[in-house]
Amino acid sequence: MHEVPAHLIEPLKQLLLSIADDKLMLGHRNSDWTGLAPILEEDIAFSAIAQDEIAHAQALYELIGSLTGERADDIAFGREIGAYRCAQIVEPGDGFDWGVALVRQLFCDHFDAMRLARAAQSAYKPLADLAARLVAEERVHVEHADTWLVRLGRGTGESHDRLQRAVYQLLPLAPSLFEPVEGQDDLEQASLYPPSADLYSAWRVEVGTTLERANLRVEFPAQLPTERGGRRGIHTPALAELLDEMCEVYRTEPGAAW
Amino acid sequence: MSKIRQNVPPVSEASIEVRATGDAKPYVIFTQLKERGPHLYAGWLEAADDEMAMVLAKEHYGRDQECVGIWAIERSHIQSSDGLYQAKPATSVAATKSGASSSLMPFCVFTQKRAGDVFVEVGSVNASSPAEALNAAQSTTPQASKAHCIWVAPRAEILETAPGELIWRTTDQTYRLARGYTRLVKEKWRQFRGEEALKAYEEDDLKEEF
Repeated sequence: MHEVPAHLIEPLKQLLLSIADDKLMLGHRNSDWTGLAPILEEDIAFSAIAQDEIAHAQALYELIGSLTGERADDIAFGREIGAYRCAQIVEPGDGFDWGVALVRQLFCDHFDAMRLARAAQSAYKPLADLAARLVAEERVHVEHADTWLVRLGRGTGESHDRLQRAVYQLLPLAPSLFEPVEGQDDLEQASLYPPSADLYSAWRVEVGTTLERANLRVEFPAQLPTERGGRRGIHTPALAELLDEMCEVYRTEPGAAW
Repeated sequence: MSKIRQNVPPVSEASIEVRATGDAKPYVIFTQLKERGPHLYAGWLEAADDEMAMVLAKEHYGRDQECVGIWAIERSHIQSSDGLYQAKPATSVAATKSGASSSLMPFCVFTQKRAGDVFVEVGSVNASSPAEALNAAQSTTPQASKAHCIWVAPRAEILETAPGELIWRTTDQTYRLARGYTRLVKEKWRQFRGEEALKAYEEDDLKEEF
């Protein structure tokens, strides 16, 4: 399928925004580590991964633009906070706690890779092609997160305890990733996105395997919450702060081409 | 730079109770730019172990230019002809299994043509020790006989990416490179000032940037 039926453009936009907004916020947050990561080699790697995420977001905003005629910059920086579709787990800062940063990577990168692998099966060919390209890079990010988690989880008592605290700190936010976007059922019925009811259980197996290898304990909630969250525009105050800063330059001259 | 960085919590040495148990080890990284091409020296990195070395090697050396494969070799496995690196005694899987200490094993040979050139993979030799591998390389490999410096490393000790494993970036991030940045600046000049102003700009002391 090369043309999206008119009534599915809005649901598809919601889905693409949820993927892109997660990546943009995570990339922005993680770029704060540039110059501050624990070792030089990781400083470079983590900064490069942050830039990957922002580049992925850009490609997805451009895909939305091809459906709606909007400019990628305007989509990324020009929306009211209620129009963002990121999950709440990507919104807060990590307090420059390396354990929190890594556990968030673990949760989000595994989810992102699984979501992109599904999007690669979309009947809408431009999305399938883009997702297939991005998922290959996302798997490199997954490997990076897994490697660090296992090293530090099995490292010293202190490194283990710090990761364990981070797991408990972020666990309540993890289900926010799985909230469906408005109109997702319609997308699934039209094969624009595969049925995703099993995504949460598949993710728990993947993430649980890494946590087990890292000697870390976790009890995932059995059920996902049903109240509205980030995917439907309900955000934390942390996102407002993030947007004020990230969009500061854009807002000085919204129409400018940078 | 984010404002959040003005409040980075200070780390006091006293708050860390555990001492480091080992130093990061140096690894030399080679990249292969096309199928069946030689592996070329790309640089060094330090990592705690082999697996972490490969994760970091892929991020640092594999992703800003297209390459099809990466090798990482821990420095302690490299023997250099100028004596700078002495390999620790080699053990081959074959030797351990057969109980014979003198069995031959393959070593990869890298040569540096002149001082300052990059090291290039030129082939392999079979030898029972790193010193013997250096001698064998000098007598059997034409590039090695004339080289400024030779490195040898046991093939079995070379870490490598799996075939087809993606490592280079698929998105345009040329803004990260100096040439990408100047290209963008040049386009902006064209757009806003026209060709003549661009020429005048290029003639002044910033022309080196283009």
